[in-house]
Amino acid sequence: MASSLALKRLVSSNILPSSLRVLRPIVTAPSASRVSNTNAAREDVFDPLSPTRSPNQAVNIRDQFMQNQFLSASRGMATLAKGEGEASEPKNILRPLSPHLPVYKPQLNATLSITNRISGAFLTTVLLFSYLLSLKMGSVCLTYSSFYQFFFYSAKLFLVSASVSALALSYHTYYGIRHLLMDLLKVGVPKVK
Amino acid sequence: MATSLIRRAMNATSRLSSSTVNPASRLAVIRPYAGEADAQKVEPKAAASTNMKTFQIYRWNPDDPAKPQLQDYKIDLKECGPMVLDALIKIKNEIDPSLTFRRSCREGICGSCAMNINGCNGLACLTKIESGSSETTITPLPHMFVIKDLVVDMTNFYNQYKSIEPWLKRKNPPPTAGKEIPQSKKDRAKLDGMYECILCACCSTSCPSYWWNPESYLGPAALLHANRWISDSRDEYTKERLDAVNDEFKLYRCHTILNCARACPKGLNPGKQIQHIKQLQLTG
Repeated sequence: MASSLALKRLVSSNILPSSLRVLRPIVTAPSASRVSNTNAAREDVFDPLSPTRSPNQAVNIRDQFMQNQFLSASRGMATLAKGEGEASEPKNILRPLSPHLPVYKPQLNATLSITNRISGAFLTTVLLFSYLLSLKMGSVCLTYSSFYQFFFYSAKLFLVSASVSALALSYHTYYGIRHLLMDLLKVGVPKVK
Repeated sequence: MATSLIRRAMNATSRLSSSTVNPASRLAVIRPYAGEADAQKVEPKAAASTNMKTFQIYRWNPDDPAKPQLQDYKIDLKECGPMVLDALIKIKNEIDPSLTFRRSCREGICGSCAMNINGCNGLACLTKIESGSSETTITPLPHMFVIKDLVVDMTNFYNQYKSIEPWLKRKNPPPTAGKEIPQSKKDRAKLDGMYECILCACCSTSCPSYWWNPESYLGPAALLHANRWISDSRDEYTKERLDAVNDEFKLYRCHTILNCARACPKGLNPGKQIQHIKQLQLTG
């Protein structure tokens, strides 16, 4: 990687922009094989001005080819890390992040773990803000009459929220016990594949 | 059809056994199934029955950057090897040569072909293609920067492995100078379950904790190797190694989600090794 960076800097100062348009890399060097996959469809536009060339000229053109290969390869991977780019590079490619949550199959152990976190967060909110709720409910109802109307006719809400909290509390406790057992007694560790 | 077969068999056997009069062969003539002559005939290609399966593969081209897409490929499973890697190579050879993926040993020991197949991380060369007509979805390892198609940037992963200093460190010379450091079988057995790791990154990229903190949390693979060197009886820097990971992020981002143990294609359990390190932090 470091060598291609050095080559990039070397090449960007030497090669004229016009040569980029004319020459397209052919697959010869193994390091540029990544580029060859995408350029497979493009035809080789290399057209020597004269049919016969001296060996020296041929070597020079081959060297230019190699340097161009590195240049276009580096343009594709212009960002070694996301967002990083040379000022002289024409394109700064931002690499995408491969899909994680949308794609990964939900596992039992992972689902249990995240439910534990959610129940813990829910219980914390309930614990810390229940006092505020009970203290301020009166004044809220007095100021917002439509809210009071809704609240008056939904007395069942208490029952629902109480059972949800009980569920969260029991699940969180059971998961905590399971965690302790797994850590101390190695009981209940999920089987590996 | 059966009568013609019998007739042909009778003619064939009568021609064959004209010289050797064999009562068994005369009995054989009346068989209701095909005789020897029919068995010699080579059947033409299995009549029009193909087993087509669709593969949805993640594609992204850095030379032509657009939104990453899932591209469909249909291949005939009857002309393909059993593993997902066989299917990928077949697609690359016959349908689309621009499909890019890493592969090397094709036997589950190098760790190059790690990718996400049908939602689970695994090695393509070890994952059988699911029979049935459902589609197989292949995406690169989760939450990694994509270089092209199924190839991801593993630099961060390798740097984390390097950071735990995965080599033997001693303060004293070996007990018998110039010879290897002896290790009992019991001590060597402590390394089982850790030395087999091929650094395929299936475990680290399956861990949601590693997804949300890829740079600060070391990940199950690096921590498994950290434990491998901590548990090695020949290594004398145990305390320093434990102190190096004793960080809120490096070790303790692990919340025993244990996706790593489910994902490991070699059957290792990085979660167990991480628990071991945590216990050592408590006691040692």
